[in-house]
Amino acid sequence: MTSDHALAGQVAVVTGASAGIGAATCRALAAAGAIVLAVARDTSRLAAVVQACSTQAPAPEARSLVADVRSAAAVAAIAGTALDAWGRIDILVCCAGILAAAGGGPAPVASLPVAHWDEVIATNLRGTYLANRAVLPTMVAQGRGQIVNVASVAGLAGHAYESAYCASKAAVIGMTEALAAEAAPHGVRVQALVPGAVDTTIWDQAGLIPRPRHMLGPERVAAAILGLVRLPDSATLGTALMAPAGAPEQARAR
Amino acid sequence: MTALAGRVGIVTGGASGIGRATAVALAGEGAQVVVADVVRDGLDATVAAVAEVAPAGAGAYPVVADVGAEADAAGLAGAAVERYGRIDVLVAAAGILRAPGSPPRTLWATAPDEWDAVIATNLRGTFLCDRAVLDTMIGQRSGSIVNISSVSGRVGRAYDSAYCASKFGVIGLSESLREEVQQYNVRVNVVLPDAVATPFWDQNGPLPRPAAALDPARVADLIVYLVTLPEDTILLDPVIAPFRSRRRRRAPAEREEH
Repeated sequence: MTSDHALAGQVAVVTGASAGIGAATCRALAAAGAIVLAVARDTSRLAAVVQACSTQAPAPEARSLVADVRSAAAVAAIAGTALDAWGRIDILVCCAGILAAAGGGPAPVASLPVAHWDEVIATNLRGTYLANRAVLPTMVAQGRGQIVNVASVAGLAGHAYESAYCASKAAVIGMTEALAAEAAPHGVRVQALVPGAVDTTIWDQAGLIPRPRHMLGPERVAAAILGLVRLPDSATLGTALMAPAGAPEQARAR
Repeated sequence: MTALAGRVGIVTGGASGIGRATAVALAGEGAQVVVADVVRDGLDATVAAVAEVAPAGAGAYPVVADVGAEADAAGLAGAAVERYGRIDVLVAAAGILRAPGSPPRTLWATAPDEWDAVIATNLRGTFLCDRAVLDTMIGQRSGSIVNISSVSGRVGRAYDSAYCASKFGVIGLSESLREEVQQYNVRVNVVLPDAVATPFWDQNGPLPRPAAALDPARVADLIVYLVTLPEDTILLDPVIAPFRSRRRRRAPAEREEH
């Protein structure tokens, strides 16, 4: 793949970078010539992602940062790390997300442990807020920048036994819309991508809930994220829905 | 007016605004209502307002509770069951626009503790209160939950990121829960009010108040209607807005003041 004019040399931060959509997005950004800061909790899986980035054709620089998006201090360090290394931040893609708490699984609201609710909200919603917040002063000062937050169709239509996940993803869309309005006057574009079911390890957290028959590959979602970032400055998709073709039930938007 | 005679309701955020109006309306239809809020003074005024309209066998019982605290939410449900033996209606109306004392801010100027305060009351508080009444409602094989979202639960607005996120989240949570408990004959409603004339707007600092705002009693009327619908029917996610409002959406020019 040849270097992409729009993305070559751009500094991109990706959270949830060690697996699934995040890892695929790191590889796609690197293949388009972007400099990647891959952020996740798992050191060894991050190293593999950085390695994969470095084998993409233009081989731009890629680094990893071990951070838990639930920690305000750890997330605040993202901006400093990128600025120290490259002096700016052009792109943030927030992919860090969980379906259920560690050791938890699908559960009715009535018996979902409060700590499990808190863990999902802390990762998916608060983590996205913290990461957005961490890069915004830089982007505003630059007068340009863009953010893509990965939500889910579960944020458009709630499903049983996934209340915390549905609440978190709906809330990410709300936050993204509010921020898009705030940041636009500063030249910062904020969009949400709303994928249907994606074939990633997140389904390992789904317990007895069967995997959907039609799922998007994470590389398809990564391509959509790059499509959002490559949009001309004068355009935005706002909240973009992407679902596997042939599976209309995945995309039952209101 | 006794459509709710013998019924027991819980109303959070009961010290003012939609919560107080709802407590008055439910009690006016004959319900016993447990009213909760973090503010004792306002609760007493709600109890007094209920006493003016409640027929015999109806009334209000105040409980000071922080809906974002698990023990308080559980205690609230416990108080209703202990005092009245059942829970038929929960109206989760407790909500804040911003952290106490915080002016409207951009997301990047919003401190994490300001974000957390809004999410804790509006989203976690709704989860905790819904969760607290479910054992009882599922056991009864009947009950109506009404979660108060907002038009800001459908469309995000600048300087309200935590509020919008919380209200979007309430819709997601409610849709999940609705699917889980319909088999137990428990109905989960969401109401999306546009601007309502309540002390809530005091949290908006220098921003102008909406040009038109609903009397909270109109939202309370809708809630009574929702919980008295026949059990085989639900009105999904109604938006209630001031009629003849000069403008529903704030014009962009108005936002340039900040």
